[in-house]
Amino acid sequence: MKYKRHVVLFLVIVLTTVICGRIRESETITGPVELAYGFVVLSVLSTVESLSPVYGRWSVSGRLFEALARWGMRPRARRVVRGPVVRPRSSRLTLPPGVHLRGWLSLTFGRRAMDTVFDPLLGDVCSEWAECVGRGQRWQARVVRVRGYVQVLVSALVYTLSSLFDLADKVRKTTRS
Amino acid sequence: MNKLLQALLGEADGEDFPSLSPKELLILRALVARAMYGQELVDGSDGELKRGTVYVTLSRMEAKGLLEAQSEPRPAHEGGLPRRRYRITGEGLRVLHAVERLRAALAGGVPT
Repeated sequence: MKYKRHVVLFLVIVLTTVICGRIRESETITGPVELAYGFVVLSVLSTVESLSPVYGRWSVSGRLFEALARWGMRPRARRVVRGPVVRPRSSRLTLPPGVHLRGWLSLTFGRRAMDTVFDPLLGDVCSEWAECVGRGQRWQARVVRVRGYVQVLVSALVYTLSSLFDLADKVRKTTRS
Repeated sequence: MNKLLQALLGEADGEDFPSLSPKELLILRALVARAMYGQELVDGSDGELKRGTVYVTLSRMEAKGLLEAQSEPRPAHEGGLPRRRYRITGEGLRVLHAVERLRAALAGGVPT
């Protein structure tokens, strides 16, 4: 058959057009995959064309290669829009209560106050919080955390007032003697 | 009350008897049985001790020598700050017994 190669070439061109159209419509095919598809199709096309008697007069694969070169070999793949990365709840890291607060407290209060008042309080709050987290009671753990912050605030007020009374008592005793 | 305690104990010539508030007495009584954490003291006091104030009280009692605290590091997998376990000292026991004797004396008459 004289025009057998032309028919094959025509069918390949139609098939390539269909495949490229499907690739364009697809939302999930990314750039490298589309590029690989394109090279495979073009390789087949150029092979078939090389067998054709009309090769060199109008080469579809040659024109496509030229077009790709003009685009910087970048296929026009649709950008896949990805949402924000959300970790599953089970893998979220949460610091125990008082880790940052202790730093602020140590700037305000002395070593003795930290050792005897705030560290034991935060240690007990941490323990209670860890028990709640271990049991999977996330909201209870949050309540423990907030309650711990309130207790730290109350302790700071009470300790400050107590220190002031002690200071006043010492001044009174000193002035009496 | 301190002067009365000193008179009862025959320690009028000794050092000042440490003052003891009702909450401190409650803590001493709770710690006679075993050493406890501050949280356990609060939980076992039926609402008489508050978490926000008990650590200041414990600190004051520690300064008086009635209690001693031991820091216990937490397990590595838990993290967080170490807890402190409080236990009564000999001085604390002595003061507690003196107060108990005073109360008994005031309730049933001073023993001769």
